[in-house]
Amino acid sequence: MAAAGAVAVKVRALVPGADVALIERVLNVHDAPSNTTFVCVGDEISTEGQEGFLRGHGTQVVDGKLVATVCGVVERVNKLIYVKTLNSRYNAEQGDVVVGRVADLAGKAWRVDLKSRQEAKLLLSAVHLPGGIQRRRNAEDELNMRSFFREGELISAEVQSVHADGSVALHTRSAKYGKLVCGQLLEVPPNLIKRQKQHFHTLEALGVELIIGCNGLVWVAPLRPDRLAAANAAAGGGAGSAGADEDEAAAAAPPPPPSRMQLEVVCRMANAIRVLTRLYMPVYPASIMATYEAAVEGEVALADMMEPGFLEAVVGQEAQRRSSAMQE
Amino acid sequence: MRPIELELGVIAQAAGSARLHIGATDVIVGVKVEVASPSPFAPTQGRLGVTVEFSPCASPVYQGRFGETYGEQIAAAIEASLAPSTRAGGAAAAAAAPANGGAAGASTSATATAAPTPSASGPSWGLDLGKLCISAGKTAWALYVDALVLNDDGNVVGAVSAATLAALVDTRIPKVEVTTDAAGEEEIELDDSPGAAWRLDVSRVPLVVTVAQVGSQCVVDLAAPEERCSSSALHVAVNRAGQVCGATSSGRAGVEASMLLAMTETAQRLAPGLWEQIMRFLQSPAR
Amino acid sequence: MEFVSPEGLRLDGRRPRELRRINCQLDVLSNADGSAIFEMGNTKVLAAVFGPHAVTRRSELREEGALVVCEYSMAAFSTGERRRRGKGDRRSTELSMVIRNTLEQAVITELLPRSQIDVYVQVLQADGGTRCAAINAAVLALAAAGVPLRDLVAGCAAGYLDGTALLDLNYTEDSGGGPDLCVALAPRLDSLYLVQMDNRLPVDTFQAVMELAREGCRTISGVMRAALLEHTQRLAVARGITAAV
Repeated sequence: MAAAGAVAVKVRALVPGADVALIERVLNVHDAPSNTTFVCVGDEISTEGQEGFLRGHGTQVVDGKLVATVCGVVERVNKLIYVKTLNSRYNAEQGDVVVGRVADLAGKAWRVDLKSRQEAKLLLSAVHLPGGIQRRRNAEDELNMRSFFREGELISAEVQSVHADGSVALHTRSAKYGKLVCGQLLEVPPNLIKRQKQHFHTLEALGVELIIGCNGLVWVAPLRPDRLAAANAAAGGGAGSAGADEDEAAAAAPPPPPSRMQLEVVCRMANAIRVLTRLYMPVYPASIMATYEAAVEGEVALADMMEPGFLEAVVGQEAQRRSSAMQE
Repeated sequence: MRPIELELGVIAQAAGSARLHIGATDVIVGVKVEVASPSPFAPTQGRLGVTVEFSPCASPVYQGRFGETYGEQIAAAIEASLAPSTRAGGAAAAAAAPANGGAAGASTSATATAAPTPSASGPSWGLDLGKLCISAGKTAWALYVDALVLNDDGNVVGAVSAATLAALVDTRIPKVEVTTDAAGEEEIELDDSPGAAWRLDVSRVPLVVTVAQVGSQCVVDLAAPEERCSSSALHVAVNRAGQVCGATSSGRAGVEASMLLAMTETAQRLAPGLWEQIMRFLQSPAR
Repeated sequence: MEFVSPEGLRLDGRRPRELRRINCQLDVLSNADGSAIFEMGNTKVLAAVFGPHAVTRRSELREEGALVVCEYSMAAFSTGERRRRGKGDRRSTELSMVIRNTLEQAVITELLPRSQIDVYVQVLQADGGTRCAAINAAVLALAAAGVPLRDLVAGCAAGYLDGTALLDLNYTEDSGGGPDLCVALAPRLDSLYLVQMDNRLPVDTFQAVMELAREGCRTISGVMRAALLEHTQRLAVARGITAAV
C-alpha cells in the first residue's frame, strides 16, 4: 500500500563495468588505431637510438634499458622521455590554484589537505589580511589564527612554492582566495584537470561560481555579490576608484540566501561534473558547460543525470564532437 | 531514494548471496547454512546469526578494529528484523545505538508501534526459524548472514537490509533426510542434487528504512556527505504490509518526540513499495 | 584420496601444469585511489590502495621513502566452512605482514618520501592460493593507482602430490598434506620477492616445484599486464589523449 505520489525506487541489475563498456562501445576504443604507445609496469621503452635522452617520471633504468614503472602513455618531448600516468595523486606545481581543507594548526601555519602525497602548509605570513594592506603579523594574529581559518574549513589558495622534498607552501595573497562556504565540493581525479590560465569562473548569467582546483577538488556555489566583487577586483586590478567603492559596499553587505533556482543550477553543474568524472572525461569549463546544456536541452531531471540514459547521451555527444573535430 | 543495483549469486561457495549498490555504497551479503544443534531454549527452531563488517577497502578509517562497534549495532538491528521469535513477547525493540564509529553520547531507544498480530502458521514477521529444524532437539540448520561493506556512501543500514533480503531469496538449502539406523542413532543425509534444494519464505521479512533528521526535515537515503549533516536518525523495520516490526535510533542528538511519528510514518510509506520493487526485480528473468 | 589420476588429470580436470582460469577487474571501488579484483578459479580477492597520502601517524614518518601499510582480511562467507574471523587473528596478521613485505620490495618507495600507501586486501572467496591472489590483486591495484613499481610482480603457488609437481593448488589439493610452495616473482628482474613453503620437500623435487611456480608467476604476470594495458587504453581514449580514428 504505497502512498499515492510516492516515487518508485528503481531496482535494476548490477552490471560490473557497465560504464567502462559504454565508453568502449561508443568511443570505439578497440577500433582506434593510434600511434600512441601504451606501456605497462615493467615494459621496455624504446629509446630509438636517441643519444643523450633525459629520463623523466615513470621510468627507470634496468640493465641499461629504459623500463616503465607505471602504466600509461609514453611521451617524448625534445630529449625528455617520460610516461604519463592516467591516474595518480596530485603533484603540485608553482602557481597552481588549489582547493583544500584545513587539517590542523601548527605554530604559525595551517596544514591543508590537498588530497596529495603530503599536506601543504599555509603560513600566517602568506595570508591575505582584510583591508588589503600589508603589515607585519604580530603575536595577536598568531593567537587569532582560528578566526581566519579553522580545522575542517575549505579554502582556495595558490601554490607559492614546491620544495625539493615535495613539501608545498600555499598563499592566499589575493581577495579571490580564502574560505569557501555554502556550496558543493566535488572530488575529481587530478588527471582529469587541465592546467589553464583561469581556474576561477564566475558565470554571472547562471548565477554560479566555479573553482576548478588543479588538485582535483572542484567547488560549485551560488554566486554571491561579495565573491563577484572580489573577482572583479582581481580582474580589474584597481581600475577606477568609483567602481571599487561600489564593490566594497556590496562586499560589506551580508549575502542573500540563494534562491531555489540558483540551488538547482548549482546541483545541475555539480552533477555535470560527476557525470564527466564517471566517464573518465576531462573536466574543464567547456566540457562542463556542454554536459550542463545537454541536460537542460534534454530536459533531464536532476536526479536522472547519473542514469545510464544520460551517460550514454553524453558519451555520444563527445564521440560526435571528436569526429567532427577530426574532419576539420 | 537513489536507484538500487543488485546482483545475485556473487559468492559461489555461499548458500545464497547478493551484491547491492546504492549510490556508491557497495555491500555484499553472504548466507551460509550449517548443520548444528539447536539452542536448548528453542529446540524446534534453527539458529540465526547476523554479522556486519566494514572492509578497510571502504576507507583507511576502517583499519583494525575501528568500525566493529558500528557493525555490531547494524547486525543487531538486522537480526532483530529477521527473527522476532528469538525474543520474548514477539514485538520487540532493538537496543539503542550510539552514533557511527562509537562516538560518545547516549541516545534513546524507541519501542515498536503497531505490532503485527502473530498468526497460527508461524511468527508474525521475519523468517520462520521453525522451518530450519531437522530433528527436534537434536539437529537444525544454523543460518548465518554475513554482510561486508565495501564502500560507504551513506545509508549502509538500508543497503545491508535490502541486500540481506535479496541474499535470502537467493539462498538454497539442501534437503535433508533423517534416518535412524539399527542402533537407534540418527543419521543425516544431505541431498546435494540441485533440484532438491528448497528456498526460504521471505514474504514476512521486513526492510529496514533509515529516516534521518536534517534541520527540521525528515530525509531518507542520505549520501555520505549528507549523513555528516544529520543530527539523529531512526532505523525502522517495516514489512510489506506497512507494519512496523522494530525500530532503532542513532545519532548524537536524540530524536525529538515530534519527529518520531513523522519518521515512522515516512518509513511505513516507503518500505512496502521498496519491497515490491526488489521482489519484482528478483523474480524477473532479467536478473 | 587420489589427486592425480593415471591419465594425468587432477580433481578439477586440470593438467598438473595448468593454472586455473584467471580474471582481472580494475577500478572496482570508487573511493580508493586504485582497486582491483583478482580471481583464480574460485578464489576471489579484492584489493584497494589509498595513497600515496600524508602519513597518519607522524611518528612513523620516514624521510627515505614511503611507508607501506597493509591489512589482509577474510570475509566470513569466504571459506567453505563458515568461520567467523575476528580481525587480528594470527593467520590474518601473519599474512598482512608477508604481503606488506612483498609489496614494499615492489614499490619504488624512494620516489615517495614522507608519504604513506595503504593497501587493503579483502578475500571474498577462498579456494586455495589466497596469499598469491592477494599479492596479485594488490599489485594490480597499485598499478591502477599510479604507484611506481619496480616490476609487475606476480605470485603463484605450487605443490607436490601423488609423485607429480602441481601448479596452483586449490583448497582440496592444499589440504592434501603435501608441500605448498608460494612464490612472488618480479619477471623482468628475475627476482624472488617472496618464498614461503609449508611441509618438507626433498631438494631435487624442490627444484621442479620451484621452477613450476616461477613459470606460473610469469604467465600470471602476462595476464595482469594485458588487463592493465586494456584498462589504460580505455582511460586514455576516454580522456581524449589518443585520437580515436
